[in-house]
Amino acid sequence: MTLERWRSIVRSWMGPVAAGLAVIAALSLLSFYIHARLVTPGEKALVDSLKLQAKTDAGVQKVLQPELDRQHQELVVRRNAYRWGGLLLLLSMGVFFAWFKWLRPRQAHTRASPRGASLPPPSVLAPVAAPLPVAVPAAAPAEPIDLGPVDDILESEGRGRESVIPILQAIQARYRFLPQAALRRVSDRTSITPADVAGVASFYGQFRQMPTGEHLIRVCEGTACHVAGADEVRTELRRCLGIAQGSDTDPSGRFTIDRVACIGSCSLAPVMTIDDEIYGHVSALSSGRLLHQFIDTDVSKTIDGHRKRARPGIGREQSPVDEAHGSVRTSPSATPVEIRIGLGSCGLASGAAQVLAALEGEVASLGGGATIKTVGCAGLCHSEPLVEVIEHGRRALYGKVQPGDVRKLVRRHVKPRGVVRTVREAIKDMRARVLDDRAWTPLTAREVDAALYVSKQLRVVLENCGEIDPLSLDDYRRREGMRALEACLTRLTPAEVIEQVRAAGLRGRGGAGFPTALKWELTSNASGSPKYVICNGDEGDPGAFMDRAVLEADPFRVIEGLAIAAYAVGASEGFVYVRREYPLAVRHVRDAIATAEEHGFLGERILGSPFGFTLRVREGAGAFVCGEETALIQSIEGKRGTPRPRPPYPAQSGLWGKPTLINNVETLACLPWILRKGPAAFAALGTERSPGTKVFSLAGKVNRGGLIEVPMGITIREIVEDIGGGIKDGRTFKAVLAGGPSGGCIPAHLADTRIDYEELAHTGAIMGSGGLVVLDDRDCAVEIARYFLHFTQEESCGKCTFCRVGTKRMLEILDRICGGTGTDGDLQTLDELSIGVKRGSLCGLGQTAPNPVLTTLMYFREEYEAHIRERRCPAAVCKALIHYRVLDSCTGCTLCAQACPAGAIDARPYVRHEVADDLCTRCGMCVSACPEDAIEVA
Amino acid sequence: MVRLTIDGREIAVEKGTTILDAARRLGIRIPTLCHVDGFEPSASCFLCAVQVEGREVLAPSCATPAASGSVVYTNSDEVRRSRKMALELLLSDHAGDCVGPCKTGCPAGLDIPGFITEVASGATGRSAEIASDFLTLPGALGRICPRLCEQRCHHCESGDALSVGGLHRFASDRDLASGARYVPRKETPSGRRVAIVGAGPAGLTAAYHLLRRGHAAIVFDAHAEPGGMLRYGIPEFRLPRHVLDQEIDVIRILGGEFRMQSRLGRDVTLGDLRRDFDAVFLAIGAQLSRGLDCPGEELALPAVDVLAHVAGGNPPQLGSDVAVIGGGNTAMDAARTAVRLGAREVTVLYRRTRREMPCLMSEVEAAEAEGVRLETLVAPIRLEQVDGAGMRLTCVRMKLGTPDLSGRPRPVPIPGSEFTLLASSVVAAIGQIVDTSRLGAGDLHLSPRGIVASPATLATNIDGVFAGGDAVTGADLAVRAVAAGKLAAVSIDQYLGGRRVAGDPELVSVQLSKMDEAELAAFFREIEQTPRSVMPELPVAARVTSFEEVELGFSDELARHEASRCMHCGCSKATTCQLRLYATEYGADPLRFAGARRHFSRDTSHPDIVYEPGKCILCGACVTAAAEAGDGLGLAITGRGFDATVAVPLRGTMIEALPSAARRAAEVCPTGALALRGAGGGSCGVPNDEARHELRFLKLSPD
Repeated sequence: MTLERWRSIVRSWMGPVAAGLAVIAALSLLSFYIHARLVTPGEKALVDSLKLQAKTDAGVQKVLQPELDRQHQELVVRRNAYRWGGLLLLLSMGVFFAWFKWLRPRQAHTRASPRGASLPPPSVLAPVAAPLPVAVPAAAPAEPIDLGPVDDILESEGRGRESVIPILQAIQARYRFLPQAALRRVSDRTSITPADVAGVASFYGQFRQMPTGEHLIRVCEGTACHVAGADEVRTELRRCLGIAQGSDTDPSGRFTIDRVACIGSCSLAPVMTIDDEIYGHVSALSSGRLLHQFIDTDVSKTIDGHRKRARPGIGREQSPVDEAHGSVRTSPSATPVEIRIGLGSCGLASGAAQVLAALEGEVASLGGGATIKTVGCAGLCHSEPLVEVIEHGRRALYGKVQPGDVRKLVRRHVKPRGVVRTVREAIKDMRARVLDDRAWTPLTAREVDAALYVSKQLRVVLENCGEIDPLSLDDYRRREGMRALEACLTRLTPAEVIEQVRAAGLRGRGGAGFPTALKWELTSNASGSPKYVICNGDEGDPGAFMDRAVLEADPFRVIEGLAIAAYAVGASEGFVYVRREYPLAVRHVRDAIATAEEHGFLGERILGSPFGFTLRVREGAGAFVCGEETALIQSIEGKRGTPRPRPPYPAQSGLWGKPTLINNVETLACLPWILRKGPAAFAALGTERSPGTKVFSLAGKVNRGGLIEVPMGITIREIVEDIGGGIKDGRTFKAVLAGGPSGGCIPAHLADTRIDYEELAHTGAIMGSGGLVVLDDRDCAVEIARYFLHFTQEESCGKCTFCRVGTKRMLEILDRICGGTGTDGDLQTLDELSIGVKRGSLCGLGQTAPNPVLTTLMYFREEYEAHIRERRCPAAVCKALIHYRVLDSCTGCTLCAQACPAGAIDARPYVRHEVADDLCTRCGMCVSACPEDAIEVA
Repeated sequence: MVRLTIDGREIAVEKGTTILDAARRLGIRIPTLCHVDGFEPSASCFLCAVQVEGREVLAPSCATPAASGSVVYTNSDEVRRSRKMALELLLSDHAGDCVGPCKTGCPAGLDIPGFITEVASGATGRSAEIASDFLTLPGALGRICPRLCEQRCHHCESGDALSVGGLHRFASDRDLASGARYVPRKETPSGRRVAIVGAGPAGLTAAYHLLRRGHAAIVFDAHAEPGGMLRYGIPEFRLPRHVLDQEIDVIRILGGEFRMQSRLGRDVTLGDLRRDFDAVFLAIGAQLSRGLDCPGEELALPAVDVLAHVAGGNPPQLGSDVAVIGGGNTAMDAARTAVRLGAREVTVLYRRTRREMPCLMSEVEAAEAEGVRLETLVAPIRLEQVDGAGMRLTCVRMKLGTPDLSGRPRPVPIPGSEFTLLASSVVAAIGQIVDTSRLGAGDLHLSPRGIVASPATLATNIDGVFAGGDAVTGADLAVRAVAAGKLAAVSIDQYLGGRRVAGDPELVSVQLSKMDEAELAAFFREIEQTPRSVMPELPVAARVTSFEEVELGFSDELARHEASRCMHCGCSKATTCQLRLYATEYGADPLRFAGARRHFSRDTSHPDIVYEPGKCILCGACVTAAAEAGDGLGLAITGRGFDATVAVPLRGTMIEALPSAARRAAEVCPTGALALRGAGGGSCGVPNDEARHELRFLKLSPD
């Protein structure tokens, strides 16, 4: 019997014992009270009459005295009994509560760690980057490794070259990295050469060659997260974990900080994940706290040996993603009230799963009366979690719903069923009204401006997003889903389908705007069989999440689009290539394909026609360049994702040398609408050269970020000011980054530029896939260019000289400029290299990589010059060029000193603090900690 | 058939033919690095990029099929700019020295690793040949050269440099002593005659190389004996006369004609020479001594005069207390000569500190060992004759100020720190200048430093008149004069042959900057890390009384040991490397985009080939070659972005990777990343005749 064992016995029995004690105490108090009540009235009357007699009769007085004394004695005893009983009751209830809240086994929250004390908050941790003192052995793999699972994996994933990525993904899932022995086993037992195994294993960002810590932390490196301070979060986490320079795992081997290009939850920037859970709106200050919270709960897991079910995410409990999404949750009888809750990635990251649980509980307690439907992203990511209630056709949308709000929200629309419930609810309501008088009104009513968010938009691609259960084919069909496919198969020849697309004027939404019909025609005319269609869902642009949202919220639409495309070009097989950073999208697409197959929308003889089409899902493995179509083909074939020269174009010689059509998710998602409503309706939207609508993910320094769909031709100003609600915190609008690392920045003075492929290209940016990150005056143009170059440099496949070395040299120059050591000649070299890289690269990645540099040089050259000539960063961003100064408004509260991880501020209560410039690492923690805004950065 | 236009010429080719092949059929040369005939195009190096009308980006011609009606430009300005940039980017990430840094450090371009390899293997004769071919006077230079090469030696990063000077002296000494000394082959006589004015190192070298090329060389000199400053400026205890004589004898053997005691401007004029000879090389040196630039400066004896008199056999009387002013080798030589002439007290006065002294530290140490006193941070301000046989030298103390143009701190006088010292004689060794008065009032362009000549060709403004050595640069190192003589010979040969005078184009070279420990370790794996051999010297007691040579030269054993220390840091494909040849052709500057580079490393585990990943350009040719062979692990391109590299997959060895394809892989490798073992005979880049020819073709082809 160890001490631990005793502890756990005590812990497990403490609750019941306390509860029992409380019950006993309550019962005895009750019996005492009842007894007193029963006895006292008679006695009281007797005593009263005796007292009356005693006033006149001294004998009675004498006789009465002992009785009075006895009564007094009894009163004292009774009072003491009440006191002690009450105390015991309170105590045992307290113990029970404590047990229930913290000590209960198998429970997430626990304060008991093996060290017997919880960790102090990060702000009071020693500034020295001490590793967290957790006694967990390093995750070094035990040698030799059991290779049995590798054989199983080969059995299930296949042994051909095209299976190499799925095989490696499975191996990594099993071992948490790619052990060399396992790779050898793969090349020994398959037809895959060692060169292919090693080449692929080292190419994709997902694959790790070194053992991973027990938990994987990812801090999103997307643009929106970057401008929101993700670097500081990463630095703080590394410091908290004591991760050494050049390493990514903490010394105890518990945590690995992995890099991820973009998680696609840009409206919640900065975003981080620990294992499968997403945490939005983190900061350097909160990330450390989050980590400690995670460690605390995780410790209980290791002690009790149980898999914990949930962890706190942003202070709330979240259930794992896979449990959250279900089919339609219907109460026993059909009801006129439908409650929709968005369970897209952004929603989940904001705690939608807890809201869902609360909704379910609430509706159940009301005895039904409402249908709860889980839907995909409605686009208002800034207001997640979103709940929409539809009552008799009237809609009410609620934003930023917390589990605690659910009751009121539901009660607005749903009446309890039955007398008992009505009475009970009435009582609860009364009590609730006393506690909280906040009224829950729909978002549209609360935020008047939000009407603009909706009114400027036009939903073609997103028409079903937020409206239907993503995994319900019935739901999809209720909204005219699959009609377009039916129409094609029954009424139109492939050539006519292509003609319709041509008439609609649809252009590829992946970025370059190539006419879709032309691409189809080329593929259709090419000889070779079979032909393939591929849905490009490798949305690697950091700061974009349109494709993720569509795949998550409306996967059947993409499947329908693919089937139409396949029918038009004569393809019989297809692939959906999705980033693995979008697990929910992957799952939804897989499920939807299975459902579509079941219902005859995929497979042989679709809808009774001779047309057959099968669809498979391929997960990307973390390579931005695979969004380029030739690289994507290489990746599906199981090779390194290096682009190859075009011509020949994929339409002539694509996947395995066969004619292949590759369309972007959004392009495909447009098709059902076009074929249902007619090409003229689509062509009527937008501008003449760029018809239709475009989906953008709006993020950065706007008040309302999210997924928006606008008609082409809308101006950037309308997007930023009307839809986005202007710049956050009343700052000044500086520029918009369009098109991500391939795009460029469009400065505020060009905000009246219309959204149109050609017009955007005139500014030096590109339409891109639709990422729009808004910058304010606190964003440094040079630093942004440096950020993008860093991204493209990391993501370059390394094939072409210009892209491999040229972007590196450009990045070095930008590093120098941001670091305050740039020279005048650097700008000239940057210009020359930009042109060289642009013209001397094989694929889009290299050809567009210099765009962010070229556009910032064009519009913000004076900022570059300020960095070089004055050694000054006008936006106060570049760490080497800024200083922190405490203003007179400092109250001496010492919070900044507590927050400073570098020990650069001495805590001096009630005295104005000072930042020691030589020690300061410019992490910004003091600025966020200061309640008085008294720390100036300049 | 597809019809297209390339550089304005039309051609019809079969469908599917690449632009590269189409251009080749027209005889248009497009450079390629990653392209291997028969392999699927890699299209990665972008050297073969061409401009196709209507396309916004450049097209890699190796992978672009010719399209009907397309108009292609293979050599436009933009294409050339792009190629140059591609080469510069590749060079910026090229981890490895093309040739040993010692060789690029040597002004005369001596193939140092080459001759050292021969010394190490015991082939002294062959090593002397190499040394003579490059240096002309290897024995003399081996004794007196300040050895810029040794400063560049990678050994310096962890210890002492290889003793290069000592080794070529050794090679030369053994060769002279062998009785069958090396005399180079002569080409058939051209019938052309070249007048060389000045029999110093520049003139002698020019003569040597012109004679080898079949021209007649007639050397004019004002002195009685040839050798110039080597004979009259360097004392015998550093450079024994017999060594110099023997080395000059080779020029006589080759047919060189010496017209001694004929001074330009007195006995012969430039006009005469231009009239009588097909070409003239002016190597008149810097003969005038610079004065002390203070009152009484005429009282000081010029050091070169002192040394010349000693060399001529009539040593001056310097007395017992000699003050030598200056910090160069001449000052040291004068001081040490004074000691040998019997001076009791010799003091060298120098205005900066010991650190800034331009002479060799070993000379300072030798002088101090011989009793010379060094007084630094001192400058003369007045020199007076005092009654009796002495003079009074007034000096002022100096302190170091801000750096001047030469980068050295400027000495600044400290006011009020004047002091005097008495000396029996004062020797001024401040430096020499070119005596331009003797050139006559011709139309030869002159500068304050001397004659103006093109640095690339040494041609002056007068047709057929070349100039080099100290006469052009002002007083400088003997080895630079030798380099000038060589360059002059090349240019004059071109001039006499009626070719374009282009000088001696150098191949572009990548130089590793300072190596880190891991990189050095890659070298030291191959060789034993031993300390530098110490040069044996005459004991001090014997030194101060005679003009016997002080440094005694290496023994066979010491020389062999020293030679075995060479790391052979150069590239075995230095002359065949396509990257280097194209870099030269396009005038690429390896330092233009200098930045972070890969690490140098060297895998010698394979018996046939050596792999140096830092020199890989990621063309993937070796990967394809290995895959074609189909055995072993093969090679893989691993990683991505800037860190992408070719490696043996699954942590295997090179032997596992390339059991049969090693040779083929090394052949298709366009750079020195994969090279056959011993391809360059271990020597670093001896340009063979073919390479030279190729180079000339590249360099001289009309743009």
